[in-house]
Amino acid sequence: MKIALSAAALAVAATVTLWSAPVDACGCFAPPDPTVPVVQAGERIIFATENGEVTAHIQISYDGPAAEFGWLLPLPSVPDLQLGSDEVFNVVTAQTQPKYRLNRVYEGNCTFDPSRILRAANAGAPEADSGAAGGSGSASPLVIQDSVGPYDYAVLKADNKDEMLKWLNDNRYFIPVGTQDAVGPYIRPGAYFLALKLKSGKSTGDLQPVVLRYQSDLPMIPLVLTSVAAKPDMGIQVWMLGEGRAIPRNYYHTVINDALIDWNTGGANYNDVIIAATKEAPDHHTFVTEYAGTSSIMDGLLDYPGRFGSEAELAAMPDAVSFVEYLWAHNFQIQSQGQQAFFTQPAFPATLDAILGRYIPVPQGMLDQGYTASGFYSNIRYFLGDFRARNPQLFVNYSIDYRPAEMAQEIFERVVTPAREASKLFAEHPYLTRLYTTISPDDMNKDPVFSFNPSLPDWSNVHEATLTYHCGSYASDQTHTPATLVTESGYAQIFNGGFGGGTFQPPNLPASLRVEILREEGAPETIINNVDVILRKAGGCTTAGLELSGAAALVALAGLVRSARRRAKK
Amino acid sequence: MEEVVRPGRGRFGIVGAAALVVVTAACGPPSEVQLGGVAEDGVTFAPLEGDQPLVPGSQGGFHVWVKLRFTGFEPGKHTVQRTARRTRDERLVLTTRTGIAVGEPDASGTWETPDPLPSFMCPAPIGVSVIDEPIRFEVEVLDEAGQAVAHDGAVATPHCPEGEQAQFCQQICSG
Repeated sequence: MKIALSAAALAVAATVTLWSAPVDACGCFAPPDPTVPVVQAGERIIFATENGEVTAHIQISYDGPAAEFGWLLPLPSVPDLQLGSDEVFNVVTAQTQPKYRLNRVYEGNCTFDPSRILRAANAGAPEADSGAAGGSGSASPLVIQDSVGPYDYAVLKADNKDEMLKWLNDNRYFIPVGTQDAVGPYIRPGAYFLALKLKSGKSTGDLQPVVLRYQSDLPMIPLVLTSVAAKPDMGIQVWMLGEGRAIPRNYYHTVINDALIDWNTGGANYNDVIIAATKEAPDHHTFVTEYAGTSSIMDGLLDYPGRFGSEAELAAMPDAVSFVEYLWAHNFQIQSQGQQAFFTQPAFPATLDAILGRYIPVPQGMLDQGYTASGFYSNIRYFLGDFRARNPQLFVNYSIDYRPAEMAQEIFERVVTPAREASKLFAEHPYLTRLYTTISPDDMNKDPVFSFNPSLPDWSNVHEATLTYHCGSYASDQTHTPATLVTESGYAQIFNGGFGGGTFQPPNLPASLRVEILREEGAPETIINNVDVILRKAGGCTTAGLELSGAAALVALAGLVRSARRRAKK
Repeated sequence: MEEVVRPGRGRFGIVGAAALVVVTAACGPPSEVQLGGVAEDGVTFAPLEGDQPLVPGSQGGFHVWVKLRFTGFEPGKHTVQRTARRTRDERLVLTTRTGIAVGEPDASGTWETPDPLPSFMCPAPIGVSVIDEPIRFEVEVLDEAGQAVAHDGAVATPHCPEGEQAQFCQQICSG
């Protein structure tokens, strides 16, 4: 009997947070107080390349004061700058998120077998005991100075460091300590820097991704500059759109050892495994592939007929309540898929919340009581009607500045157009690759460059393992029943004392199954192969949390042999 | 009868080769593409041969600058495939496809890219140093079906600049 508990596993997987801190960006944050470098927690970038032009969607978030926000990015040519969409990052993250599913198999008389419990419940006569159920120069360097959406920006020539930094200082684009040296490699004749800051009066809630288009053969992340304000083991998430599978051109590629994954929690320790694996690669320079396959998984998620309605209709709404309800009716809320939809409250993108907040603000009294913008806007008719009548004290000095034409125009400029452009980008490029790494500032001494190798195979983001309970003639305690876990890569662990009880103790094994070089043509070149080490450990040795002996070891070895054959075929 | 010579298949590979006429349609003049480098002034078309400087790029990389001459092509956008391989082991250093808007030809029937194109060399692929290594550069003009209609190639040897960029160049171009 084989029961797939993928729903539960997915629910847990959806809670895995790779982005623990609130600051995400590519490039370098530039706070006004140069002695207090902003800690940059991660970068999330979507690259698309076509005909020598790179399109980069870069997600920026920041939790300092709005007046202190500044951001720098070296570029090979004067960029075309547009606003991006937070929603595209939400959706593409959900669609390509690594998922670790555990399929449970029940051998013998397992009273905790969910299918038995279900059958018993349907028959009205439970057969399981209740305790077992449910457990489980002098010239200005300035090239362009303009604004877009919430940002003021400048494009500066990067051929003279002193002139560029002076201009940034004079115009309140301050730079943190260490930037003087870090920008050195990017100071070149014919090069440029993009500097961003928030417009006066804008809040950090107004921050939204930017989209850059510039001429370059290959996309690159300026990590050396990022090191100025990065945190240890900073996550870097890259999506590459193109004609085939993307590769890190000058970084290694790691296939993680899935024996270290905590399958019982849907891979809650995934990021820890990645951190450990990156430290096993030469120079700590490596990426893992998290998804490689068709970009059609994004079809119809960002833009589809009927979504967003029309600017004219929206601008014609007679009052604030109908205005917001129009947004709900036309699916302005963040689009989510599958399991996530059950667990997340519908919400507008942060950019839309920020726009609405300036005209139809959430009453301060409600915020003080713990109400959220999502909650307020999702029931605005109630909150501005009955609720307000019953709780007038929460609406003291509250007013709405209802300007529908201005609001509609800004919403279409900052929310609708970016979502439609992003949707088009996925439609135009047939293949999507998601790459991830973690890296610490000391190791940020080489800028990763990305390219393609269309001959490489697809890579699923969904991973499955099988857990077989050995119940014998009778077992009622799921967490103490001997079980065998066989992971996707074929590693088998025998849990004589049961599986899933207590804290997960990963086996003492390398975090990398393989470290390899992916080139722009040909098969991967393996430089570190830990398969033998892992096989040897599983073949009778004792590892942390795992004891293998006798028949159990044979079962484990059988799984490993099957796996090795499978890998050899690949 | 159309003959297409493809790169890297043993039909080309002579150091310092000049333009290679490849395609002759049954009707109309032959279409040619000529791959060149840049003279010391940074603008003028020059043979792509011998030592070539690795020019600092804008995002921290180093590149070899090339120029292209198109003869017999209709003005308009054409797709150009450029590759670079290390000659001693055929390691791929660069493969990229670019859209180039070919302009009106001059009196001799040729149009030249006004600005040099950076051929991305560094950061070099892992284990593939490009410093002082002969590199074969090739260019193909592709038709709508992706077939080469013109082709040229040349071999040159990139070297790192001197001065403050030297160390960084050595670091990221040595593979």
